[in-house]
Amino acid sequence: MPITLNHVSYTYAPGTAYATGALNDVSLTISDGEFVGIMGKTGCGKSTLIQLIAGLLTPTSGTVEVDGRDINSPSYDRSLLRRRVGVVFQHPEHQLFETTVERDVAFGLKHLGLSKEEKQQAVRQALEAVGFEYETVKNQSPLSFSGGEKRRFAIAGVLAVKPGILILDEPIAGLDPLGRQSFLALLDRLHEAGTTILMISHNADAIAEHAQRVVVLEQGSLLMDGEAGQVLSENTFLKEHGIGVGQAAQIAALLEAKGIAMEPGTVRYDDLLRQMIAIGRRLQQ
Amino acid sequence: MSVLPTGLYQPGQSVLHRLCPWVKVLCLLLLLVAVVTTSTIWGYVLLAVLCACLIVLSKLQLQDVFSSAWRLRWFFALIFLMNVCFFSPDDPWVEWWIFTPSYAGLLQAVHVVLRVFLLLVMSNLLTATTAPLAMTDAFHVLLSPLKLLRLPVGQIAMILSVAMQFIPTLFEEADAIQKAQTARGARFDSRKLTEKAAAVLPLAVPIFLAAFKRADELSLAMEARGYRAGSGMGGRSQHLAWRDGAAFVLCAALCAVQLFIL
Repeated sequence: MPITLNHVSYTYAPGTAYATGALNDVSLTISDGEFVGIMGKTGCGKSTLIQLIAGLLTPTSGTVEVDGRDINSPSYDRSLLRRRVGVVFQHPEHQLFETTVERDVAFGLKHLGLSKEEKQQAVRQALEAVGFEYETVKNQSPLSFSGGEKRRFAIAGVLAVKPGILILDEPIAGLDPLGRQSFLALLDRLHEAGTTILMISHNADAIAEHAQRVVVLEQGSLLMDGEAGQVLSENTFLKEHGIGVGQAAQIAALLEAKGIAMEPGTVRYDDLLRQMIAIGRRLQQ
Repeated sequence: MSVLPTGLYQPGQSVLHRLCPWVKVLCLLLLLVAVVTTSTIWGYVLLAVLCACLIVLSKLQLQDVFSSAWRLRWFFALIFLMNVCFFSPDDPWVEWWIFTPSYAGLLQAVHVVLRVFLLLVMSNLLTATTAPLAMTDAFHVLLSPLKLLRLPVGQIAMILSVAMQFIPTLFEEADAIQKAQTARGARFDSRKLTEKAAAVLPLAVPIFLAAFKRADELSLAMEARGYRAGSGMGGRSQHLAWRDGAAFVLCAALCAVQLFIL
């Protein structure tokens, strides 16, 4: 059980006029190798949830366990967590600061006690994973690149540590269609290689196509938690709660409304297309 | 960065909150004069009673008003000791090395500490009951006589209000960047001096970049919406009520009493 939250609550600035509740008694277990999509309206507590898991916030009550150990107990070694959990924040391109790409990507490796060759190898692999040629970019300033490229450098900096758990907050917002596609493909590759992935996104399509499980938050509490197909096919319920609905799920719902029976949990384009082709064939015969 | 700074605006609906901001600033100035010119015990009693009344009127929690004084307790102790030991070389109790503690010094120390304490509490009361933007409006009004000297008061007020508005944003941004770098393994909470120094760069560079970018974008957005420097923008109209007049008269009277009677 890599990640377990037991009755976790979190309040910002408790005891002042600025106190706001962000999470309210959330219990959640995420198993090894899962790809979890996290959805919810702005301010529902998604970002707070992932910061609690990454050990950047301490819960007001409840416990957060990673690999079976309470990450907020005083005896826990935080550097262990930093190695295990990688976090890609909203606009990760803002965190670049070094003079060369190589040094920036290697920033997280500093305290791991690696040899120079091992470091170089890790940086090379991370840069290649996000689609750069190591030799051409390594000595350039990361700040001289475009926004999309900067974001890929920042992600390479997180991947260089080879985290077993990767947390992403709106990673595809603001990327162009091609960048989005190649980024999601990268996530699929990492997932296949065994990485546990938690991704926050408003983009229901991206979540439908890539996540296995979906968690929906509302006002700091769990609203839904289940298999992606099951959660994302609840079109009317999701719309009522102001949460985006995927295109494929909408088309499936429209077809059902016209009296065409669809398989339950049709939220992916592939599933939709397969069923529509089958229906088309049946009609031809 | 979850610790909120003291003297921070606490939203509320008390009489103090509803006073016109520039009258409030003017009253504070009058009271400052009163505090600085006080020299008798009755003067201090009067001002302390006034402070107590204002705190009750403001409906603030005591910690909002006093926590900054508590944070400065070592500073108070220091100025107290320095005044006792160094103020007067005449008629000391004992003479040891460079120290000459005396009765005059003790008296002076009590004066200084009381004054600084009262000033601190009063200015905390002002900032805790006045929204930052209301404060810049107040400056706009109070500085407007300087227009006669061709000073760009409107622009100064605009700069102040923009700067104030962006403090929380920059604070949030710094927080986000700190978290991002922490997640990447930066050690901000380390006790080692070398690691502490090394942690400055990953924080400072992105924050400066973001601030410059934001300033650029904001100036473009302001231009696009037709802002021209010195076109008389800024400063919402501020209506005066009877309580503003009453507050001013009270403070002026108190100031006069301190100056001429006590």
